[in-house]
Amino acid sequence: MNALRMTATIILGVAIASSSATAQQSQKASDNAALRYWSAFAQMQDTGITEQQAKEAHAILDGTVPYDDLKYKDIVEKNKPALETMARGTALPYCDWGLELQMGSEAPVDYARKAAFLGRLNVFYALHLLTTGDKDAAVRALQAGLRFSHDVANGGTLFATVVAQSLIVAHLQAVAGFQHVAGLSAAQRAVLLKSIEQLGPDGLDWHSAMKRELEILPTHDPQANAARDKIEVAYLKLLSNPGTLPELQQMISDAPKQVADIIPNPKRVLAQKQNLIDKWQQTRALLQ
Amino acid sequence: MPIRDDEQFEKYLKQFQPVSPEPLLAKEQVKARRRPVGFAAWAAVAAAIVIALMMSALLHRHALPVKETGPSMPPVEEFNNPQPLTIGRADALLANAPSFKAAVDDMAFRPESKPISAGRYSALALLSKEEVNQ
Repeated sequence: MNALRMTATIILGVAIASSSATAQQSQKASDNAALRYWSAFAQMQDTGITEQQAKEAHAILDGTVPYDDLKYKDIVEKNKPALETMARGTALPYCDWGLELQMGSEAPVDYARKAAFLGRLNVFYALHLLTTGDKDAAVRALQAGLRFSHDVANGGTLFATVVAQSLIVAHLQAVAGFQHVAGLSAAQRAVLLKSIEQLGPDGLDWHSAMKRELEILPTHDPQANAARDKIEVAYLKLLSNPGTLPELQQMISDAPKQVADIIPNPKRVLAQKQNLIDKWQQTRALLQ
Repeated sequence: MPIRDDEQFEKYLKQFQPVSPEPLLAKEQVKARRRPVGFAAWAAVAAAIVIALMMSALLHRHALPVKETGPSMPPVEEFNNPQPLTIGRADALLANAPSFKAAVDDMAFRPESKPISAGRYSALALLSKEEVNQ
């Protein structure tokens, strides 16, 4: 009986090991969307804009100012190859930015900055396509943009998640604008609704991002280390139970100054998370 | 007979005239070694002139489009990314901005940054452009 159990255990172990190896092999580098996104970043064409133009661009993304194609079609057309490369990347099965977390706070995250630009440009691209009357292409651009925005947060820390949140909200805002202004067919609504539902009600994995964020925060002595670890546990609890905010805030103010100064503001993180949930629910309801 | 031999020998000695010596072998070798150094120096000067002319032509070619296209072209920026963004810098951005949204907005569409001073060019832009001879 013991021999039989041992044999069964060995077979199970080998099966698990081989399936894990197969899974790793099946993740080919050419299937990594992040590499395609980097190609898109390399294709991006920058242009000089004034302070006023920057303000107006943000207002359009917030939905408070209407989109003016005459002002933006040139930059959108110039960046069409980059946007299309990005869209092709969204069809790939996984996205790994390969963040060097072992470098701690010195780990480079330039991809997040480039993604913020490309993602916002994609909203303008969708609006441009809508203006030219190609509603199906506009819907495809939004669909790709939602997936890209979600991928931006993959494996990253708080900053990448905040960028991803901002991009998803900008795309959801554009979806709502499409429905109000142009009206969407049932098929187009179904496509967008599917993309939105794939994000899930939270939209992003805030828990993993905060865990990575807090684990790499630099601390220089055992006392600071202990304070950080304690805060980490409370912070992660906060994300599933916002009612614990006062407790966490107290813990941060009691921590050594060098730790308290580098802990991301929990109130802001909660607000950002809630903003995405609200926007997700509103847009989903609008399309149903 | 022997006396006659002495006279002949004396006559021969009187005909002797000093001859200027040939240059020493060591001197010759030093000269021979110095020649390539001199040549290399001249070659380097010539190469420097050629490179300077080529760079001048290259810079002139890159400068022209900016003049021709006028204000619609963005000015060459000092760097595309003034400083590489790290997790630490990104966190500082989040902490110092009035809101998280403002931090991301500030990054995504930034107004024109400081242009390069007159007579200077973006090394990144110049070195990343491949020259193809046709």
